Amino acid sequence: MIRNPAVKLFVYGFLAVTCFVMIIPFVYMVSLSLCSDSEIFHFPPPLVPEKLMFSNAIRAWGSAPFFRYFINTVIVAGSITVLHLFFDPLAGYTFAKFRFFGRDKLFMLIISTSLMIPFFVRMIPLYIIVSRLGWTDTYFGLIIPFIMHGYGIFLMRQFIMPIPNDYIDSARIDGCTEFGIFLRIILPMCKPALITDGLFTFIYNWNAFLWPLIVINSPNMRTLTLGLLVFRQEHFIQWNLMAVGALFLFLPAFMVFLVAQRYFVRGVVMSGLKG
Amino acid sequence: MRQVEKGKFGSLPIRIYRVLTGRSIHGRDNVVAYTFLSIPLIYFSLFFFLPISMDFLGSLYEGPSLISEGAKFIGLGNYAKILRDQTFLSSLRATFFFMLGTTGVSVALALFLAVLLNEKLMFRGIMRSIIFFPFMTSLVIIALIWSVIYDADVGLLNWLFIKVGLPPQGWISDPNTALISMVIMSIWWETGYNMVIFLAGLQGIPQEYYDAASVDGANALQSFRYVTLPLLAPATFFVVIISFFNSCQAFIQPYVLTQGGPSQATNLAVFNIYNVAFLHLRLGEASAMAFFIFLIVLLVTATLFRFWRTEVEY
Repeated sequence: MIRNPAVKLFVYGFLAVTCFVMIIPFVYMVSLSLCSDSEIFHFPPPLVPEKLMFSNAIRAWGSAPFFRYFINTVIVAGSITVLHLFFDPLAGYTFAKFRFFGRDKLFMLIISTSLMIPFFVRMIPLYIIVSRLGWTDTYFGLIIPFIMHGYGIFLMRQFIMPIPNDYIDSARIDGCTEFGIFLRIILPMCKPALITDGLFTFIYNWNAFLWPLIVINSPNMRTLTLGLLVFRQEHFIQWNLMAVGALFLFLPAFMVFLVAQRYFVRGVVMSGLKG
Repeated sequence: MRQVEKGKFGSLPIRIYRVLTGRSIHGRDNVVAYTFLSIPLIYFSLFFFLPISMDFLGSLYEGPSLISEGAKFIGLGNYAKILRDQTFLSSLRATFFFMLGTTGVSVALALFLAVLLNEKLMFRGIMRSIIFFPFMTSLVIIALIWSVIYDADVGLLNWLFIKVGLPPQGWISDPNTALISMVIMSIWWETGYNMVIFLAGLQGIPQEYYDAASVDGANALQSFRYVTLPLLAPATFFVVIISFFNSCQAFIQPYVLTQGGPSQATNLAVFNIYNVAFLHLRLGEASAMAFFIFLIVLLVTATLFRFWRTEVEY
């Protein structure tokens, strides 16, 4: 507890200023998106536009295939998330509950290569592999290289290890198949960890940029992040339209964050525990 | 068979027999486990192990790539070449400055904010969420907004500078301030993430330690120095490593904000690799650059591990 009023004033003041600095760029984005074409070059820049130009949204939506970008992003981020939610717990369960040849070495190998090796090391060979497979400019090329991750596998293993073996054994005695045990017993028990893993995977891939930039050429296959940058190149002066485009990318992720805020914080905390 | 068995899994021939037939002490564990792991193993081989080894092999060849025809083996020639490449060396310097600036300031700020927000304050939860939020937003969006904020003529920041009586700056259009501007934006972006990890660390410190410190007559600053800081060492270590790791991979910042300019001031390493590989199509050199930087990062991480281990075991 802080009792000294001067200290208290300083603490509140400092936090208020910090929060203000954190919010103001987002406010600026929203207000820019509502400015008229001439108003964006006023100085000082308007934080509250004189006339709210909601028509900017329609203009921006019409001047680039944002709907197509949106669908592409949903397909890519959505499929990656679904595949993660199947393969991360499958591998995590195997590493947690089975004893097999080379288990610990294999686990260490997977975790260390996927957590300690930065993406830029794999970037060039990955492009070569994907183009050899004929997957450039396809959903496959965007999805398949990212269907699981060492972090998710680690998270799932940590979560599954404390589940008592009795559940698994009694299912076996009752004649459940090995895959059935995973699907009907283990997977439903992992719900909290699955939510965290799924949310992070989705947001991360919703925001992905470098890999789509490398692997996508045709305008039809662009994701929102790519489309947004092309849109900026074409409308370089029209900041208001650019801000609208940024909002198209921003709003879905923002809504996910609002609904599932506490899971995100918990996810960060869980990732911190492994350190 | 019994006598031949050694240890938990038996001698080597028996182990191999068991792997091949799937008969282990634990029933069908090998068969089931490797069936479950078949797709993950193919995936990790194809998209992790293979590319990592290909990057090193590719860095030893001249020409567009290892697989293409006419690639010539030149040993460490690419490494010799990139170490004479001024653009690469300047990108290393910029990246080093960027990593140090972003990590240093953001970790210190995050620790300060976490200590404040660990107190019982009004609106604590909302303030935590607000500070954490930028990290969940796409860097593409953030760089787009900040490119407007940094605009030299009509940007928000210069307006603020004029208001408080400071001379307006060129920000991202001035080679002297471009890199610092990028560091500021990245600090703004990632401080909230670091703060949440520190908060988790702080909540793990039992209240009794602080009570004991205050019984011994420690003031707030002393109990921070002698209780909080040492007990937060693991969290701090983790935050520093993650932040280093994130900032060595910074790509969107230069791509969206500056395109590496002005006069290569913000040509960060990954942006440079991307250009060398996919614009100039010098894949051998780009692979060598990637591997070289990876070795540096590995070395820094290992040093930190060493240094910190002794620090934690006080």
